Amino acid sequence: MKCDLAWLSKWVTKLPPAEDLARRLTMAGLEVDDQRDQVLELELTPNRGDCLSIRGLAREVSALTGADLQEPFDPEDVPSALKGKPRFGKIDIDACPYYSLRLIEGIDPQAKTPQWMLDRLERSGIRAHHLLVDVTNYVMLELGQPLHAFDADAVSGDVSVRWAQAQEMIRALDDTQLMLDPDMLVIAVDEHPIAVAGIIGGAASAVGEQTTRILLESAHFAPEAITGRARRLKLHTESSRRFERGVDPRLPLRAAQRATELILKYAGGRASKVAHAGRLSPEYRPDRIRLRASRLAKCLAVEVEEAEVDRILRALGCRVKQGSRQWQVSAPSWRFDLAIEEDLIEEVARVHGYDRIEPARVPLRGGWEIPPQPWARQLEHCQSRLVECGYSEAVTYSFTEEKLEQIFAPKSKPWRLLNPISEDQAVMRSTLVPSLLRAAQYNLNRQQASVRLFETAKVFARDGEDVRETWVLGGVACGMAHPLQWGAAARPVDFYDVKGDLESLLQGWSDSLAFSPADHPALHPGQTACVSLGEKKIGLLGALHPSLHAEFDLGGPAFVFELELESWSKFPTSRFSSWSEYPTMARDLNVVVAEDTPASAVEDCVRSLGIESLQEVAVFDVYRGKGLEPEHKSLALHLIFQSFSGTLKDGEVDGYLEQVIAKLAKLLGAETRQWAKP
Amino acid sequence: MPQFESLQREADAAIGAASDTSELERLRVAYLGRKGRVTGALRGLKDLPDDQRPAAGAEIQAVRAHIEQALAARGETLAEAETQAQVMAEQLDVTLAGRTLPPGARHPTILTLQRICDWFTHFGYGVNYGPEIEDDYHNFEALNIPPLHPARAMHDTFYFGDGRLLRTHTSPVQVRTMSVNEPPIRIIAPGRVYRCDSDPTHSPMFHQVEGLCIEENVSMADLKGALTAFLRAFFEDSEIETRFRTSYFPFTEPSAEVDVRRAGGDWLEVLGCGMVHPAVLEGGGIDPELYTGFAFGMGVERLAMLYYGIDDLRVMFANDLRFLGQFGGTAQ
Repeated sequence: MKCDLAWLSKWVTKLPPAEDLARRLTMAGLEVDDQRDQVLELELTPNRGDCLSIRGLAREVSALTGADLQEPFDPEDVPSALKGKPRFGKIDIDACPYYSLRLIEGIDPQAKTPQWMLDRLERSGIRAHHLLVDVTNYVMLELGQPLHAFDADAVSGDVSVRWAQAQEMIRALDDTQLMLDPDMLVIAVDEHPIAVAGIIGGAASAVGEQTTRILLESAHFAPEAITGRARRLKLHTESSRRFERGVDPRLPLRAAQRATELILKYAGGRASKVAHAGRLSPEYRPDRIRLRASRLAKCLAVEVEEAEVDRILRALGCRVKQGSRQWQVSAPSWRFDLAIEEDLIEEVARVHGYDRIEPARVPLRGGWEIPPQPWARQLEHCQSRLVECGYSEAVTYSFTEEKLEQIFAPKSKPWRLLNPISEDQAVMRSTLVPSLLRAAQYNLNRQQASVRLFETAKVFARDGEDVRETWVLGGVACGMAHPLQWGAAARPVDFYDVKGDLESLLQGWSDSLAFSPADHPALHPGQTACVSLGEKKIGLLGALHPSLHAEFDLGGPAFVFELELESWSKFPTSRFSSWSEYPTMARDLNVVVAEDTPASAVEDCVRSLGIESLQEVAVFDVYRGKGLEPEHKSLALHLIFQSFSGTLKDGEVDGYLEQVIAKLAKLLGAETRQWAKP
Repeated sequence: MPQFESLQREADAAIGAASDTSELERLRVAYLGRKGRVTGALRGLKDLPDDQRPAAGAEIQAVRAHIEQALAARGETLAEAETQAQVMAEQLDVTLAGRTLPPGARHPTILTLQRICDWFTHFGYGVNYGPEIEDDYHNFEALNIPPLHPARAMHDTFYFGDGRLLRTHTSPVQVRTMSVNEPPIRIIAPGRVYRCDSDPTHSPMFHQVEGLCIEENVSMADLKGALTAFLRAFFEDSEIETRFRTSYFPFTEPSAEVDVRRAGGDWLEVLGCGMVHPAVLEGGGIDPELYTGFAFGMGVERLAMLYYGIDDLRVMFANDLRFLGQFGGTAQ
C-alpha cells in the first residue's frame, strides 16, 4: 500500500516529518518498506486491512501521534434526481450482509478525470483508466471500501448475489476466462454472472468510453466468502485484498455517496436513490472485551498508567468503560482483529511503545529436561568425523525426481507432492544418495578433481498409511583419492578408501562393526557391502552401478554410503582396560585360499582357536598371479602375540602357529607357509 | 720405555688420521680390545723381571689412558663432523606442501543451526524436532490459523492431497510439545521447512529454529531479554542494537519482528516472536490464566547469510565445493 503524504495530511491536523512518521508506523506494526518523495510504501500484515486506505492510516496516525482527525469533505448525500431505483433478485445475506446499487444516468462519456485525482492515484500506485473506474478506485483508496461500476445498459434484469455453480464460466475484466467453484460468490443477472463478488467484474458489463449509465455497486461481503478464492483464480485484486482482510461494515453507504458526488461533479448525470439489501449494521455491536490491568502488567512487565491505557484505546476508536483496575472495551467496526484481551494488550503495548519494555536478564535457572534424541550425538559425531576424513557437508532438497526414486528404491511408492515446483522436485526422497550424486556431478562439472560430500537429513517412506521419517547419514566419494600432491601417486578413490572412512567414523563401535556382501539395484553387484553393528544392519556402502554412470555423468566410479542414524546402538561409552607390559612377538603367514574365500573368513578362522595371547590378526597384503593356481589368492597375515603373565618364548609361539596352520587347512583348505622369523 | 713410547706415537698418528667413527672404533679394538696391543703389552708384564714390572706397568697404564683420551677426543670431533655432514645432507625444501588428505568443511547453514541451538541449550532449552510431513491441524489450525485465514496466503504450502502437507514453519513443534509436556516448557525446534516458492530470494526448502518458553510468569520483558542476549551472542557484538517492532502472527499476541543494526548499518530483520496466543495454549491443554509464554522463530539461512556475509541464497543449496570449502577453517 502506497500512502501519499500530501493526501494523508488532508485527514490529520498535524503530520510529523516523513522519516519520523515512517519510524513511528514501522514500530507500531505498519512496516514502512520504503519512503521517498513524500510517499510511504507500507507492507501491511493481514490483520490490518483497516489501514488499506488514507482514512484508515489517518486514524492510525492520529492514535500514534495524538494529532486530530479531520474530515476533508462534506459527508451529505446528493439528492436523488431519478425516479425508481435498481431492483434485486435473491441476495445471500450470510455471504453478503449488505448489498447496494445506485443507478446514475446521463453521464458525459467524454468527461476526463481531474488532474488532482490522477496525481493522487498515480502516487498511490494505481493506473488511471477512465473517469468512472478512476472514481471507484479513488474512493476505495480514500475510504477503504471497494466499489464497482457496471455499465447499466449491459445489466438488464434483477441483480442477485448467489454462490456460483460448479464450473460456471465468466470472462473477467482483464479478459481472462475464469472457471468458478461452488464456494465462490457471484453477482448475477438472471442466470448469468456479471462479476465475481468482491474480486473482479465481468468484461460484458464493464464501463467504457461509451458508457452513459452505470450501476454503482457498494457492498459488504463477509471475509469468509472471499478469502482464498482470488488466489485460487490466480487473481490478486485491490478489491479482494480488502474484502479478504475485512472492510468496515458501516462503510458501504458512505462510500457510495462519496463516489456519486465525485461522478456527478466531474461527469454530470443524475443519481437514483440507493437500493439496499441486507443490513448496513449501523447498530454494529461487537462483543465487549475485558482488559485487566493485572493481565496487562503480567504480560508486558511494564507499568502503563491507567489514564494512558484509556487514552490509547479511545484513540484507536474503541468504546471504553472503565471499572476498577479493568476496562470493558468495544472494538470499532473497522477492527476485525480485536477479539480477546491479548489483542488489546498488544494495542496498548504498540502505541505505548514496545521499546519501553525493558529486556529482562535471561534467567540462569535450570531448564526443562527433555531426553536427548538417541541419534543427536551420532549426528554431531558424524559431522565432525567425516569432515576430518575429507568430506564436506551438503544440504540438498528433500524432494527429488521420481525417476531417481524408482531407480534407488524401486519397491517403495514415494510420497508425491500434489503441487511440486517442478518434476525434478516432485517426490519426497527415501534416500539421500541420488541428491548427493547430483551434487557430486555439479562439482565434477566444475573441474573439481576430487569430490567427497555428506549430508545428514531425514528421508521419507511409507509405513502402511503413515509416514515414516528417518534420520540418515549419506555420503558420496568420487574422482581422485587425494588432491594432486608431490609425495603420493595420483589414483582414483576406491572402495577401500570409503570403507576406511566408515571404519574411522564407526571406530567407537569397532567391536561389533562388520561389512558383508550385499545387493542393491543401484549399486555394483560385486562392490556392495551391508554395514552392520552386531546383528543390526545399519546401512549400505557400495560403488554406483556402472549402468548409472551415464545418468550422473560422473566419468568414473563413485562410491556411496547411507547409514540410518536412529538404528545405531547407544553411543558407546569409553571404558578403561589395562595392557600387558611384556614384549609382543609378531609372526607373518602366507595363506593361499580360493578366490571366493573372504578375508574375514581367514581372520575369523584364526580367532576361532581362542588363543589367549593372540592380540591381533591383520591381512597386510593380497597376492594373485604367478606361482599360484588360478582362482586362488595369497593373503599375507600378520599375527601379534602377547601374554599378560610373562614374556612369551619362541617355542610357545611356534606351537600356536602350528595350530593356526592346521586349523586353516582343515577349515578353509588353505595352504599356509610361515615367513622367515623376524 | 721406548717401545711404549712408539706405541703411543703410533696410536696418536692412527687416531689423528682416522676419518670416521667406525675407523676409530677399529682402532679402539686394535689398541684397547681384548686382543689389542695395549692389552697385549699389559699381558707381557708378567714376563718382565720383578723390579721392572711396577714402572713398566705404570707406563703402560699411562699409555692406555692417553689413547683412551685421544680416542674420546677424536671421537667427539668426528661425531660432530658426521652429524654436521648428515644435517647438511638432509636439507629439505620446507616450502613444499605438506602431505595430507585435507579435511572437508561444514555447511554454513548447519553450523549456524548448531550455534543457535548451542546458545539456547546453554540456557536450559531442550531440543525437539517433530515431523517434516505434517497435517493441517498442527501446521495451521492449532496455531490459530483456520482454513480461510489470510495468513495462509503467506505460507505457500506443498500438499500431498490426503490432508498431509510439508510443514511451512517449525511452529507445529510448539503444538506437539504442549500436547505431551506440562509447563514449565523451554524448547527449541530446529529443522527443515518448506514453501512452494522458488526464485533468487526464496528457496522451496530452508531451515528454521523455533523457540518456546512457557512458565508461570513469563512476560514480554523476558522475551526481549532472551532474544537480545541471543542476538548479541550470535553476532558476537555486544554493541549490536536490537529493535522489537509490532507485527502479526496468528499464534502470538502481542507479536513482534526483531531487527538488528550494527554500527553505521541499516536495520535488518532477523526474527519473529511474540507472546503465545491464549488459543494456542488452550489447544495445547495449558491454562492461559496460569501460564504465559513466549515463542520465536528464525530463518537459519538468513542468519547464516548475515553472519558470514553471503549475498546469494542460491549458493546455500548448490553444494559447490568452492563455497563449502570456505567454512572449514573454524571451529564454529
